[in-house]
Amino acid sequence: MKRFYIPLAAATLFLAAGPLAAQDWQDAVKSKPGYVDFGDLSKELGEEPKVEVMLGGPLISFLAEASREDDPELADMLKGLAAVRVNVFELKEGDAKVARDRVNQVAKKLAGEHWQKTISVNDDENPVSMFIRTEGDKISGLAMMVVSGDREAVFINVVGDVDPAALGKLAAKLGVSVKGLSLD
Amino acid sequence: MTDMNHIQDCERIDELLEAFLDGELEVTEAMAVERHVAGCRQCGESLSLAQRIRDTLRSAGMPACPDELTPAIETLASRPRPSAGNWRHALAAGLAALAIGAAVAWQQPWRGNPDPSAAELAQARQELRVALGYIAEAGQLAGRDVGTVVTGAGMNSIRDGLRHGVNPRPGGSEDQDRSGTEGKS
Repeated sequence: MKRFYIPLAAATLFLAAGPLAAQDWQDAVKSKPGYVDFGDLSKELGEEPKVEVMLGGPLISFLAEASREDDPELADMLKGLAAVRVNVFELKEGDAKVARDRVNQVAKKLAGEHWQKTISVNDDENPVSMFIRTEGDKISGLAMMVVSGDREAVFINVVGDVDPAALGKLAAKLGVSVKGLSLD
Repeated sequence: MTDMNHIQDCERIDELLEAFLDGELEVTEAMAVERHVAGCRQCGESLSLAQRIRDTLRSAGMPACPDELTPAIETLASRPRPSAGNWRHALAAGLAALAIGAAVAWQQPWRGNPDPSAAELAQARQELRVALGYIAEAGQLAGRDVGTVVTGAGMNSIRDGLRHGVNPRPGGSEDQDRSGTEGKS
């Protein structure tokens, strides 16, 4: 029976290593200065996000390399990024206030830290907040929060060495139309 | 592109769809499929159908455990366990497993997801586009082109700060009040 110990334990560790590694980069991203904790809005809204993008670590590096030939601009932008996170919540009746409160709460917290508010649109129905964080001479994070009427709330966090000009250009060029988008 | 070329492309793509979904294509091939499918409704539908079939098969659930399997496992489990005298073997086995695990873990943390398949890369690409789409939309909601939002006046103070080696003032802002004006939908 004992001869089974080695393969059994090795297999267990092998199986555990994958998810643990994936967890590793997510934990590593959380410790970066450009990471923003938007809190668990899904708990408050009682619903999971409609869109959840969590790109990071190795996949971004692979994506950068895979895009190098076709789109060097995209590859350059991706090279310095640690993660791109997007959470979009579809709002039901009464949810808009909860989402706006969360935006205000996070905005207040970021403003008290080392984040620079670059834009804030104080529209009652469509508030937009954008923050940038710098470390030394580099931008290390970008956060955008939008409540779009009573339809949806969008939380975006780009972690890493962000080039805002390149990001803006690529968003205009490559971004798919998300109006009415359903990834279900 | 002529109709004949397009039909030939569609036939070629049709042959590649299974491999694309299995993540067996080279990155360039997978991107070619992705590009074609994005612009060809028929191939897009074929891909969706193939994906749906896979999803259905995946969600079909596990078959029931055969009746004879349970007693066989119980018999195996009831066999004598290694005696206390075998602890050295167990320890050696544990250490060996730990060494293998450490080697695996040593290679893994910086990779997280080793060698993503072409399908995973295509998915990541699509997710990135969605993320960029929301960034662009947020810019539009702010009443500006996104490039201006992230490079506009608010950025100037940051750039100045960076140029002079000073961190910008936290919480400094470029506020707009559009209450009751544009942007209401």
